[in-house]
Amino acid sequence: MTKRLTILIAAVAAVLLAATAAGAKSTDTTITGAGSTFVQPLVAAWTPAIGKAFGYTVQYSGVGSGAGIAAITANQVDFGASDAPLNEAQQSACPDCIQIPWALSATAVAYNVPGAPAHLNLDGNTISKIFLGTISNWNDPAIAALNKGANLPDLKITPVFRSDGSGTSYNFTDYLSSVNANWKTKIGTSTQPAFPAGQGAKGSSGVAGLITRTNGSIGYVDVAYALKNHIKFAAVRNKAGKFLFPSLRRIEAAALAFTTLPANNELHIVNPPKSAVFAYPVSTYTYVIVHKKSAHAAELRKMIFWALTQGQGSQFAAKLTFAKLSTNKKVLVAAEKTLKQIQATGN
Amino acid sequence: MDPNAISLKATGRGRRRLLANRVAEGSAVLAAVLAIAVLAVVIWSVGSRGIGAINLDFFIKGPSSDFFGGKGGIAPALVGSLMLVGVATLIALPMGVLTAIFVSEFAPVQVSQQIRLWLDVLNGFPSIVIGIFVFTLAVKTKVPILGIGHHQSAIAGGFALAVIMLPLVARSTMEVLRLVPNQLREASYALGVSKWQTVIRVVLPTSFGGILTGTTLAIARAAGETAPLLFTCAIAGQIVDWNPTHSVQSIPLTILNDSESADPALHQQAWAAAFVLILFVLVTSLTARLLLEHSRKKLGLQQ
Repeated sequence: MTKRLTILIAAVAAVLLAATAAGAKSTDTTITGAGSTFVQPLVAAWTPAIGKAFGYTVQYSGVGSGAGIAAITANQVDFGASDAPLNEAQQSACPDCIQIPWALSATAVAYNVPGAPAHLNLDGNTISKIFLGTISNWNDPAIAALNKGANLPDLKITPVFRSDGSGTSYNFTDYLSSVNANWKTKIGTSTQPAFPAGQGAKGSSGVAGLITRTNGSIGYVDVAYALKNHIKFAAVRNKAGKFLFPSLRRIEAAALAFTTLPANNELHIVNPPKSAVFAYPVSTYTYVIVHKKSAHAAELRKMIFWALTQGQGSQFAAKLTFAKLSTNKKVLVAAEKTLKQIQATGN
Repeated sequence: MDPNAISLKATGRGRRRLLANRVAEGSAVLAAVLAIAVLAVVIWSVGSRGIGAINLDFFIKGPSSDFFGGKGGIAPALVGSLMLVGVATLIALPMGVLTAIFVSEFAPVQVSQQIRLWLDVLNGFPSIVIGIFVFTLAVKTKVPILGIGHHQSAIAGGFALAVIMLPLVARSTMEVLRLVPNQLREASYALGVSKWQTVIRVVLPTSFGGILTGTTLAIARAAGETAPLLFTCAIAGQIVDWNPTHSVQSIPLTILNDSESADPALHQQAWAAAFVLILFVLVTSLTARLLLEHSRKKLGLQQ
């Protein structure tokens, strides 16, 4: 009996070691990624299609833009995804990292106010004051002034924000900093701003969930999550004076309003100028971050090129309120050019 | 009634002592009942919240890739947990049993006392510290020969769980080896069998049931550990993956992520996953108990 047992244990150990060795040395077509929850639904939609097209298995984990940047810096994953471009500190921590814009969408200002009008207007200054805590009730005259004739209830406002390092937070605070000087000096633009009022939740789905559960709450979340959870979102006033809901056309208008592109692909398309009459002011690109020298360079180039071209098709992008990257041809060309910088290592 | 009959009812001091007895007995019974009741309440509340999500799809499908609908399952997490526990057992079981054999058969008394002490310390170690240790060892850097490293993997996660399982396996095996009667060993030596052969052919088979008990209890603990997996095996895709050099999903982390999501269907899945985990722990604990009874009977120590 012990002889059989020893043979059995030896066989199992051998099989395990063989599997490990095979897995470690073979050309693995599993591509791992981590980061933004903003782009997670789109990557999830891409995954089966990429599997069919190339045979790659994409394993993506929505841990937040901040954690995604940390993961790619530490080489824990093949690609990172972030809605916030790399700042100076992050770029110097990862000198080999390049960022490529690969999707375009917007942040909705979602709210849960029973008894509120179906069409709620808000502008940047009011939103800043709400998140700073100076406007604390829904029947405040500042909100009433934007919504003439609406019957706003006497209900405390609970701001909901992202507690983790979030590219959506970056986009939202980027917008508030550009419309409100007070916000810019007090809080500024960051992936993890020090919000003075309200409650935090983890991930886009966490914020969406908290808003649905809290009466009187207001928060910022990717449009797709607001739609999925049937949360109402506000019409935000742009520089041209129009109150607009986020939609594909309006996101495209925001993207087209900015024509200059820096070398590191860092794009800010919030608060477009007056000339972009129908632009939604809280739009953003989202980036894929990869190392210039990567073990899966060829696979990454193929995958990202697919994402930049076929991945923008309506069955993937439009359904989730992601506008086509090709809207602004300059951005698409720059993205493809940056893509060529990815080379294989001997690793 | 006979007026001269002696009443057996207690009076005065005797009565107070009887009352004190009854109160103490009552509190002890109440405490025992509450302790079991807590377990019953936990199982019932988790089960009642999660039962709605349990169907065949729950066990064989992964999460739905359609953002706007479609219920999925936790198949990747089930497979991942199975792999993690499998790797952990493969590492911890031989090491634990060999350690116990060393302590009970070969080591001098002071050495075995020290080993027992330090194994107990390891048992009480915070699991998150173990996770960080394995992260630095097998995730942050590359491990030679095995080739894992630079990314999370099921082997790293399994290794972290093995560190947690090791003291449990070793200690319970030590206790069982102690129970093996010395007459068996002496009889074996008298027949001219070497020490190592005695251990393998006489002592181990006798205590096999007890070793299995310890292992199943350790497996039950390892299956539910979350903190060590946070660093070693957390960033994983939503597909069923049998490759141990990849990072895989696991049940405790799925419970964590699903419970934080906005989707109430995922909340229910989190409850259902928790229920599956509880059932697994229950079944393995009960199996361990039955195995222990069986091995005790074999050794002739009826309890």
